[in-house]
Amino acid sequence: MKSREHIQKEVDLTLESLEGLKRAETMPFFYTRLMARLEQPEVAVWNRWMVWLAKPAVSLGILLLFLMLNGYLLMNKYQQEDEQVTPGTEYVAQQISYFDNGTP
Amino acid sequence: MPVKDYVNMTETAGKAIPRPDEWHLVERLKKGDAAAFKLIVESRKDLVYNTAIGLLQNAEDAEDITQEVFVKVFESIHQFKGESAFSTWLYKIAITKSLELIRSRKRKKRFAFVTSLFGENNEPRYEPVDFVHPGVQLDNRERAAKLFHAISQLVDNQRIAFTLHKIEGVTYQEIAEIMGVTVSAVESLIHRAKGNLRKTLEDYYKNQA
Repeated sequence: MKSREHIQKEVDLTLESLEGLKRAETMPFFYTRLMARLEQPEVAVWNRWMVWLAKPAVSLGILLLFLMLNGYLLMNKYQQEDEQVTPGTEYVAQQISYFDNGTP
Repeated sequence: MPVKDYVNMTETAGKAIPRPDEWHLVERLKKGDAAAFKLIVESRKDLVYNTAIGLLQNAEDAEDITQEVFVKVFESIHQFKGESAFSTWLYKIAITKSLELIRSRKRKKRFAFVTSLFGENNEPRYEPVDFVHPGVQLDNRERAAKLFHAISQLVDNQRIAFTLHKIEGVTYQEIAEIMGVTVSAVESLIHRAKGNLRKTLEDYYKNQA
């Protein structure tokens, strides 16, 4: 088991390890590579769209919209079915009450 | 101005400027001067690269982002109004692009985890482990690798402030301008970053026992 003093000393030395750091430099001929990149055709629009769609906020938003639309359509469908079913239901109810009352 | 036209422009040969003045160069670039763009790139490429490598902890990604930054400078130089120093603008672009890449890699990593659940062999590629900054002194390389690993675990704001100050040597005042916060906020961010790094390193060395 290492002593607390030893650990503190290691931490201090590690935090000081960036002292005297020199600036990192690009590889030679950076400007040539940059010019080659500038001459390349632009990234396809479709690729940009894919990158945009891959963002969690966008994809979750689209999913939420899709679910809401589905919910709305389902609600509408049930309402329409209710409207269609209602006369039939009334008819059955009438029939039941007709027989329950014992009249032929 | 189309890129091709720009690239084909004739440089103002022989008119080397010994101490390129930022404002003058920016004005020349706005007018489409290829020599001005070259001078800007040559004089500022290491500033951008060093910032990017500090944040990304990967030399190839840093080179890629440095190129992207100068492509952005080329395309958007007319948006630079001179309200801040040109270097501040460059730092902002470099940080934004570096963070975009880090976030994109994290998204891919999450996606790779999900797809791996369904049996696809999609290993995450981005793991900034054991990175050593090329400017670190030879004696400090092993410790610096541990420190960089701890830096990669900091939250974005603390990582940006700490990296700019310790790796790029930017002053608190300029970091405040780059990040759009007050100087005292920068002091606080760096103080908290140091505290978190100390805690991470303490845990690491305790577990080494």
